[in-house]
Amino acid sequence: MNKLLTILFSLLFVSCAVTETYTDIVITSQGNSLENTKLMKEVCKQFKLSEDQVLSYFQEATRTDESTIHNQHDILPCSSRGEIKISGIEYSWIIRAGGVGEYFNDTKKVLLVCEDKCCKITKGIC
Amino acid sequence: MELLLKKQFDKDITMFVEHNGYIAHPKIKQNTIHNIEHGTLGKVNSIVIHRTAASTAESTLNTWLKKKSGAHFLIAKDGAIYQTAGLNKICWHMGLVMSRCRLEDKCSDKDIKIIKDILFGSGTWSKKYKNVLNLEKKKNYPDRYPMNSDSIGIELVGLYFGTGDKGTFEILTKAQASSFLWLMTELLQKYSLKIDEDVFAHGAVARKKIYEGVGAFETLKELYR
Repeated sequence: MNKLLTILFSLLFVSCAVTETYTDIVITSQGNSLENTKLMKEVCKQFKLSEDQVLSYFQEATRTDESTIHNQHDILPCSSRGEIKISGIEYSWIIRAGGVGEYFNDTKKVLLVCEDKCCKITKGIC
Repeated sequence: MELLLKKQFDKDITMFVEHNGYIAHPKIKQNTIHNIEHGTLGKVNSIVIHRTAASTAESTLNTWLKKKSGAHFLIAKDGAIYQTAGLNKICWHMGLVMSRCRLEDKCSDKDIKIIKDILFGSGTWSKKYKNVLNLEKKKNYPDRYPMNSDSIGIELVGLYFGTGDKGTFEILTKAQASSFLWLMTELLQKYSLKIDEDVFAHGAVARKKIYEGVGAFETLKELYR
């Protein structure tokens, strides 16, 4: 009986879990350099993402916060930017080489980081 | 504000560093976090200014309890100075340090070639920048920027504002600025360091938010003179 109840509750939990949908991905700029030097501008031109990579990134990256990024992650100078609809709401996004990214609009900012599993799936970002 | 801070400072007694690397002074709260101490720190060549990107000292102290990275000091918004690691211990507070000769346009042709070979070569992005760091590690200070192995890290509590990488950090409170000035003055004297040559904002020398520590360093320089 207990086993049956556990299974029923698990099924109920899974069916209620919120799954975000990612649509309307637009890449507005590629290979941006945070550093204003000739060398780094050239280096960053290599950082180009496909829409599939962007989608994978949003599906696999995990949410984090500024303090954790500060303590645990590096901000590499190359990035790409664009727009996306997440569960129907429009956001701008930044994905940086190395895996730190974010999406934001006027009212919300969410920080993301791509770690081991995410890096394996989204080749070319980390 | 400057005069007020100077007056307060003049009354203070000089700090004394005990054999375990901890400072005996009523202004400093000893709050050792052993997991952020890594090996013996030899000659101290520089001091690096950090911002926590958090709103309270407690949240940062709790984070450090669970991690291996952290800094020697943490200065709260109310001015409380926490010493979290001995001055004879290395803390992992620098991350990916940038190439000094490249940013200051002083690299040899050989150095530039190696850096280009790394950055345009194969491997993950993280690995490439790590390899540039490894190249820097072979150099001696001041030919390179500070490393964990020869610097003291000071974290100042304060949030990060904005999106992207060019946002700013909270302005220091008066109490924070006062404590920061006192601590820096003592450390600069103890290690015979120069404020214009041996103190760095983290964001200016490592792959972090580019203004991390920059505003705090400007405030310090104004108060120090």
